[in-house]
Formats: sequence, structure tokens, C-alpha cells
Amino acid sequence: MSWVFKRFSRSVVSPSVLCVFLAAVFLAAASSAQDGADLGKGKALFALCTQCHGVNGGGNADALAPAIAGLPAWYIEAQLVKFKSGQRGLHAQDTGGLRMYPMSRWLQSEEEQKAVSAYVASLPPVSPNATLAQAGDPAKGQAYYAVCSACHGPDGGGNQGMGAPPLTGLNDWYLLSSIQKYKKSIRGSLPGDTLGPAMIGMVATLPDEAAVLDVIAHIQTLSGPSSQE
Amino acid sequence: MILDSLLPSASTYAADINQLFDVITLLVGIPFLVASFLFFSFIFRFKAKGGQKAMYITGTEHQYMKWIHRAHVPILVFDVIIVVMAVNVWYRVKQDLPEASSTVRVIAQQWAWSFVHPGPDNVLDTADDITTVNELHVAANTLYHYKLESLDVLHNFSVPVFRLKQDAIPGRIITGWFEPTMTGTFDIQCAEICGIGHGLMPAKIVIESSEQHAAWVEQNSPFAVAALAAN
Repeated sequence: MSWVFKRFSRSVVSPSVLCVFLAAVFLAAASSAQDGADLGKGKALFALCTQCHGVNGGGNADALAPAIAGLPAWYIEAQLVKFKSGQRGLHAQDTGGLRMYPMSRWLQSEEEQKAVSAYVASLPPVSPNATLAQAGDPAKGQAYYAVCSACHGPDGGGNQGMGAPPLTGLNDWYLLSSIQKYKKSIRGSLPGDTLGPAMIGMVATLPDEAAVLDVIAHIQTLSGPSSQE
Repeated sequence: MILDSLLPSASTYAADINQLFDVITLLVGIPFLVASFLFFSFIFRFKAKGGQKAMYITGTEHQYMKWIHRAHVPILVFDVIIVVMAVNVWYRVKQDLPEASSTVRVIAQQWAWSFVHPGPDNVLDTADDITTVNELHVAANTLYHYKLESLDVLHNFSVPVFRLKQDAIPGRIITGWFEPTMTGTFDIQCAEICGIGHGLMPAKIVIESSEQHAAWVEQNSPFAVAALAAN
């Protein structure tokens, strides 16, 4: 290493600056390696999830598994915690939730939850196809969405501080089933779910099935890129 | 005897299954051990020795065949004993349907169990029914009918302490029965491979005294829960 210092001593860069530079490079490399290890572990753990959510996290309606690719890590992790603790999914009529409940228990530690959440967040978001037989009116849905935008944002990008996930990039069938579950208190009513009851109140502002389809149609028009952090 | 030492017996017909298991284990196990002993003894005793030429036997001669034919006799007798006992136990557990004091609905799906208990009126499919996930509550010394159904694929309702296993078949409602004989909390498991989450769908059966169970039903009926929420 001495030749390096001698060489740089003769140049405009002083040894102290060089040391700081090398330390910064070392720390960055270490940090990168750490991220890589987590993502590698997350990818390995995600192998189980691919059975329903698909290799690209694009979801599978037949398996009642929504698209999750690119969703924020904090939201994925929060849902895994909810499923694992029985705050979400553990309702007799929540068919999809009852499938996720045991899957979440596959993750043994908080570290594993974080790793798989980070990996899911790193996946490129997908653009799910429209699947609903009857499409709503996005113009009418915009008025209904005013209530949703308070937490989910005008662009549907979500708000971590409010615990509100992004709504963009989600399957239309998943949005429909989620709203229906909230309306029937199948979701959001389990003990310990602090945010769910708020959603039960919010979906009550959608008066009928047409309003639900309208607001879903509006959500499909949102971009939400700025808040996908 | 054998099963009982490994797992409690908590139903009226568990003893019948235990007995059948013991008989099959002894009738099959003892000949197996004897045959294994003879097999390895002969290998050791008649191993190659210097100066002794091996004899080639086709096995078709009567003096050799008789050792096979004689063994057939106990095998047939044991088979008859096992079949007669098994049919008797099968009839008692699966064919016979004694009158029940209560009925529960058992619903299997990927990958969880839902249970519908009758409410205070003790009638299933009424407004006061109590639905639980992965936890079945029953009273000891009460004869229950269960109505088993599956929402998706084949499952199997297995309660090891009852010695009960019953397939759940999509599109069918299968009625069976059990009568718990002791209190406690025990495992329910799916005994039919039903998908990637098969191993992760255990449930519990909580067997309570009649008084405890009545109190549980009273506290958990939808009307009681709604009244509690309203206060």
C-alpha cells in the first residue's frame, strides 16, 4: 500500500483525503454487500411465495393471490406481521386470507420478514390486466376517491405515515374483493387490527356496487409513482 | 396398549381402534421378528466355509415347499381375524350413527379449518351460531355429529386423540360422529396432502366440561358479542 500513498503524495490528493476516500468506498461496499445478502435471502424465501404470487410477483387470480411486485417493503412487512399474528386473514369467510395465514408463519423471524419484504419491494412493478366483467366509470369514481385520497394520496401513491399502501399496480379483482371484505367486516374487524376499522368506515362511503366499481376504475387511472418509496 | 402409551384416548371409540391396532401389530410384528431372526441366523449359520460345496436348490421339491405352504395357514387365519375385527370397528365408527346431543359443522379449505358451533339454542344453522377458525370447542361426554365439507380440494379431518380420520370431499357433506371422554386441548390436523400449505394448517380441539362449554357458548354467541360491543 505504501506505493499508493507515495504516488498520491506526489499528486494533489493528500494521504488523509485518500484515507477518507478509501473508508467511504469500504463502507459503501460493505453496505452494498449487506443489502445484497438480505435480497439474496429474501429471494430464497420468496420461492415459497412464487407458488401463488408468481415468480415476478405479478399475482394469480385463480389462487386469490394479488400482484405484490414493487409494493413498499414497510407495507409488505406490516401485512406479514398482521397475517402471522392473526390480525388479518383469520376470518372464516376470508378464503384468500386463510391461505396467507399459514404461509406467513413459514417466516420464522423478523429478519426473514424484512428480507422477503425487501425482495418483493425490489421487484419491478407489474401492470395487471383488467379482469372485471363490468367496468366502472372513472369520472364518477373520482368523486368517491376524494375520501380515499386523504390517506392513499391524490395519485394513489400511498402514505407510510398513515399506514396507507399504494393503490396503483394492484389487480382490479383484488381491489374489488378487498372493498367487499371491508364492507362485510371480513377484513379489518379482527382483534388487534388498528387500521382495519378505519377502512371499514371509509368503504361505507361507497353506497353501492356501482360506486365500488367506479372508484376502482378511477384508481386504475392513477399513476402514483412519486409515493412508491 | 401400544397407542395408548403414546397418545391419550379421548373418545368412546378410541379403545376399539387401539385394540385393533394392537392386534394387527402383534399378528404382523411377531411373525416379522421371527422371520427376520431366522433369515439372519441362517445367513450366519450357513455362510461359506472352506471345503464345503454349496448345494443348488430349485425350491420346487415338497420337502422345501412345505415351509412356505405351512406359513400360509397362519397368514390366512390372521387375515380373517384382522378383517373380522376391522369390519366390526368400521361399522361402529363409520357405519353406525348414534343419536347426537349436538351437531357441529367442520369446513376445510386451503389452509385452515372453520368450525360452526350451535349457539345457546343448540340448533345448527341459526342466527346464534358461533363460527371459529382453527379452534373447535366441544363438551366432554356429549355425543356430537359433525358435518364435514371442503371448499376446495381433498382434505382429511384428523383428530388423533379420538383416533378419528375422515376425508373431506369437495361437493359433499359427510356426516360422522364422536363422543369426547376427557377434557383438554388437543391437535386437529389435515391428513390428506392438500397443497403447499398442507403442513401449516393445524387446529385445536378444546374439550371442556359441560358447564365450561355452556359458559363458552353463552359468552361467544353473536348476540352476546354484539351486546358487549354495544356497551
